[in-house]
Amino acid sequence: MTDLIADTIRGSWTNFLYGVQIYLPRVLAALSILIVGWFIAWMLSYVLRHVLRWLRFDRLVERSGISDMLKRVGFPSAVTLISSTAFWMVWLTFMLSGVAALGFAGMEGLAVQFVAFLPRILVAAIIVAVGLVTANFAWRATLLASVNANLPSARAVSSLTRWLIIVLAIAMALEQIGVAKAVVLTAFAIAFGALMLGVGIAIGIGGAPIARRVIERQFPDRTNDVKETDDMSHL
Amino acid sequence: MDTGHSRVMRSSILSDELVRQLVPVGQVDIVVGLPTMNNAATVEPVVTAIHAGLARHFPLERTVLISPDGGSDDGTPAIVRGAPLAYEELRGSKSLRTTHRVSAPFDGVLDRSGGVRTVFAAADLLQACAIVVFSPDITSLTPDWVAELVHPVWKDGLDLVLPIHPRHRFDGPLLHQLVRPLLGAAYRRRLRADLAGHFACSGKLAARMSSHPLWQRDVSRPSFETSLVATGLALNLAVAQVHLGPCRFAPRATGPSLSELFQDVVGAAFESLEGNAPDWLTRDAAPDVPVFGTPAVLEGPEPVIDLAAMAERFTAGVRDLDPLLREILSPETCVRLKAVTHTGEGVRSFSDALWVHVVYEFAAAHHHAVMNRVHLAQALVPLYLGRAASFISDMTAADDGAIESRIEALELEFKASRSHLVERWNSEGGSGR
Repeated sequence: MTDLIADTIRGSWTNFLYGVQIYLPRVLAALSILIVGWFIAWMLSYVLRHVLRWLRFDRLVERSGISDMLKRVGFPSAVTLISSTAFWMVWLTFMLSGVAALGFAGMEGLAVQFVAFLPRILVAAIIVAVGLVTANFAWRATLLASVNANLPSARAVSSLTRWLIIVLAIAMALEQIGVAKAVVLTAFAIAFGALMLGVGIAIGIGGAPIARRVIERQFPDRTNDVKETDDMSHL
Repeated sequence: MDTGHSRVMRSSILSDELVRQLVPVGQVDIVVGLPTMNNAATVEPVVTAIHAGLARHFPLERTVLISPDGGSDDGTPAIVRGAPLAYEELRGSKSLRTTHRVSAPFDGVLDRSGGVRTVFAAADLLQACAIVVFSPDITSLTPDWVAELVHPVWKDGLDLVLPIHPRHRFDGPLLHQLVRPLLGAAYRRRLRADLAGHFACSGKLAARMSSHPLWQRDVSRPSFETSLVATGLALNLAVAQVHLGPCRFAPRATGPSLSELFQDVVGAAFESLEGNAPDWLTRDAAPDVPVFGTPAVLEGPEPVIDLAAMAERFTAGVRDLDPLLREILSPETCVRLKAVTHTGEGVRSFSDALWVHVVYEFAAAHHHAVMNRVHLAQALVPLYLGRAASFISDMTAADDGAIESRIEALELEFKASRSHLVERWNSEGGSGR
């Protein structure tokens, strides 16, 4: 009996030490990958942040109006956001490689799959960035055109324009990375269609006189009246 | 220094047809430019008046009328070539010179200044000393205007002569509230001239303007004239102004909206500051631009002005454009601007000091490119309407003299606050934050 217990304990310890012998190098390898990966990611993020600052990327983003939008949704500056994203992307890749180095079943291909997925994420990020720039440009142009044409609800019209473009960009980005493709497309089509239908019904039922006034003001009979509000020559 | 290369470049602006017509003309002293585009209804008396002016005042000089046409389909070029020389003085003049008229197509669009550029390039090719440009739809042109504009260039060797026309009391607020005081304060030279579409300049200035960077994009007439005036002031050229009679144009079917006018004129004024910054940032006081002639009087009813509508657009503009104005203006100016919109119903009192700060901060924001520059110019429109409404409301009962004094006071305010422009211009960032 005593021998059996001793054999069992010895066997367990042998197995444990064998496991340690097998896995310790893997754990150490995974840890080294994590540490080196963290260092490389940090270096990349550091260099990227300084290069972007040197290129005055923040000024560019500020001019395009994205800065304001980022602030509004509680995001850090564009430079910090890009460098942090780069850091986490790179470190996540190393983390997955580290996990793969442990040799757990089913984890081997994870890093490869993630790296293969990166270009799609990058394209999606570019789509969102271009969408934000376009949305902000369109918002500003619509706001100014509406205010200078003396149209009612200038802010509402311009905000609607901006959000439509942002929603479109996000839908395109999600479609690019393949997240719930059918759901996203269907939801977007339903939301967009409902919005347009709502606007159409609202104008048709409640806003017909306003719409007529807006259209009349937009396309005046200019043969006799070339001035905007009066006879004064501004120049 | 003019080079053979730049002359070749300018010559290439000219169409083959135009060059073919210019070759027999040879070297000339004075070029009269008349860019046209579907002006059959108005151009004939203009051509006749120009030739009468040349025959009466420049009988011995070699002259040519060049009319680049932007693609008229109403027979304008034929009318230009066939316009009668009906004036008595022309028939009996002592002119021994051939009356040259050239009308040929150019690659351009109506109300774009490609026609003027073509005139400048042709004048350079013909080595003209003086160039005068007129609009083909002007109805009040007299032969004497030709002499009054050309004489200071031809006889006195000046570089640029601009007209001053009698105007109704409240006409031209964009000029007297913004463009003239801004350019005058920046370049330290007081200016009174109108941007009426006609001016005279030296061959030297024409050659310089025909290769100006502004031609890299589509340029409207007011935009070109603003750049021309700014170049004259920036380079400290010999600029003069001459009083002419009332200026009238044939009714135009369509005109630019106020927003487009701002893009053109205010955008060009801001761009001139950008392009000539080294010239004006360190400039000392320069003599005022001299004025020749006697002011004329304008008869007729005054324009109808809807002050309430202007004030309303100002209030709505300040409210709706708040996020943009915060990017452009300093926090103090934003607060003062909002205070103006909260001073009760009707027309608000928009002080000179506040207006000057608004204009200077917009100019600096243009320099720092805090946003798209077309958008920037458009954002100024409602504020301008508020300022114009305030000015007109204050001066409703005033006579011409009192209004002139008030405009002068505004110009002094622009001069006194010039350091604010320089400070904002040189500040890092320069936006409202």
